Amino acid sequence: MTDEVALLERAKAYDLAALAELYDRYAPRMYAYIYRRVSDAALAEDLTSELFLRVVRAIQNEQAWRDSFIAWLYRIAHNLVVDHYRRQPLAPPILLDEALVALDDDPASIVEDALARDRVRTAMRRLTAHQQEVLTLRFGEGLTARETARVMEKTTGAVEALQHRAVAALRRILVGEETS
Amino acid sequence: MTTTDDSLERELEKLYAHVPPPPGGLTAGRGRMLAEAARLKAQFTSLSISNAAKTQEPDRRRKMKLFLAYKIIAAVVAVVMGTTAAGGGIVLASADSLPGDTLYSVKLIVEDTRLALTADPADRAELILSFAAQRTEEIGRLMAQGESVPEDTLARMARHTEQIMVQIAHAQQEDIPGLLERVVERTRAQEQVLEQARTLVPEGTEPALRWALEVTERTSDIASAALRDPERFREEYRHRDEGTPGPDDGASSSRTPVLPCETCTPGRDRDRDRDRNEDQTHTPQPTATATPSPSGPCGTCTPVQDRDRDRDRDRTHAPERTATPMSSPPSTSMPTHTPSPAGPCETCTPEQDRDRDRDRDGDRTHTPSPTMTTTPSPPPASMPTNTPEPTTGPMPSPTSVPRPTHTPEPKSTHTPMPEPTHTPKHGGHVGGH
Repeated sequence: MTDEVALLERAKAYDLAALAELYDRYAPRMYAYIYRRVSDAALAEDLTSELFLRVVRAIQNEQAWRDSFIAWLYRIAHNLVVDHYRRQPLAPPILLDEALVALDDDPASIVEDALARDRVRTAMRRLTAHQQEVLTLRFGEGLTARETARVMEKTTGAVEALQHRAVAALRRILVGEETS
Repeated sequence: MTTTDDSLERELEKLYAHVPPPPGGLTAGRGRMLAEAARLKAQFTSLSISNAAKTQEPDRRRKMKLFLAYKIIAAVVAVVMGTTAAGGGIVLASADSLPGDTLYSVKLIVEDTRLALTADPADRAELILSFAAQRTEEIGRLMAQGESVPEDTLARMARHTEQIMVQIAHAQQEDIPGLLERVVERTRAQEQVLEQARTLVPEGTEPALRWALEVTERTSDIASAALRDPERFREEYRHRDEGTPGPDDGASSSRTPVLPCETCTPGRDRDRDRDRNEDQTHTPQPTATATPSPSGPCGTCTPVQDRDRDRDRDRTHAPERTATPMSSPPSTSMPTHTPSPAGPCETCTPEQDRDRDRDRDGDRTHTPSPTMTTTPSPPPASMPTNTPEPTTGPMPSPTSVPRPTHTPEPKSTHTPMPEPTHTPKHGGHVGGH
């Protein structure tokens, strides 16, 4: 932690080595988070790049990240994703992700898994941005309710309630699809 | 697929477990970030040096003393006003006054004093919001009564609106979203009233109305964008106000707006303008460029001159309404033409002004509009009513020069220019009905 504080102090003064280290440390994680929200690897990489541009432009404002740098990163990433969907609300769902297909897997199970994922992913798109965020942070990033609360600037109780509502809503959507 | 909560959560974990590697290996982003950091570092270093040099200027200290003195005077005025209010209820009575009423100047002095005595940015933003709402209400009431809307009122509304965002950027983080939401609400109401006013204002008031509308729309856009990304907004506006490098781009510092000073006396404004012009080393820049100008609204131009200036500016720099106003926040001052030293001259005689304008227009191969010299028009008051005006002295030239009290155009039935003895304190109506 002390190491990170020192690193951030150096980064604040635009120390390129410190910034590069921060990037290497957090960019893969942020890329994964954004990918989980947008389901498009190239787009996720672009948004990750944009995220770190914003970071470097705002890093002098210590107040923004003093409490938790990672929480700040997640917040910026969330804003980028929301902005992206606001600009392109009708982005087509991605049916199969070729990158996930390994040659030695059973093709039938690959397709089955992929379809199941796409179904959940498509249903996820019908949730609110906050509901999507809470599910991604909890199940994708593996954050605790408390950590999620910090990222989302909510109380732990509010996060738990939001998660409960999100899962219930997702279930309703999937059940509705099955019956229809 | 089973849809119990547990199974659903397992599905979610499975879904999230699959993250393909980034196609470009995240290297491009790394390069972009480091290049940006290098650029910002260079900019930051050069600005730090120039800021350090500036702090040594004795002139700066003198200005600071003047500012403190004004604060003290404002405090005294507040006490006096309070005492008077207790006796005669003048302050209370002025609260409902409209532009043109005798007590309206008292109302504006009270507003200015309250603002001068408020230090907290959130409180200042609240105050400015309430003042802008006051102007909106006044304009609405004037229109309802079939009265014309004075330029001073529009200019004051525009100035208030311009200042709001800077104040909000300095507020506590938790106050910002609420304030921004209120700005969005208020600016919508303001826009509606101004749009209605557009059809009712007298002809000469058009530039001020257009300015007020532009500022209102721009502020609304910026506030909406800021609601989406408050961090970036804070960053940009804080830097902008402090003159430190903004996170946006290299132009941030040069775009730092010089807002019409709410608490300055006209003399101080003149000083400021003179200093600004001196900073620009008086190098003639005849060609208009898209460079945003730090100069505020022309304090002494007639609306016709303003229109000409706007037209010149529009030819070379069409106002941009980008989809992401945060990434390129427009200058908060209305005129965005070249920071030419031939800008509004507060101290020139009308003859000097005319010569200067002729030179400038000649360089741009622009033929001055004939109305520029034939139609006497009132000045748009850039700092008309926010400080007590001297009641004995005339307005600074060229408005102090006696002018015809009516327009020669047969269509116009109103008197566009106040009498030479008229002080602008009472609103400076641009013709009545």
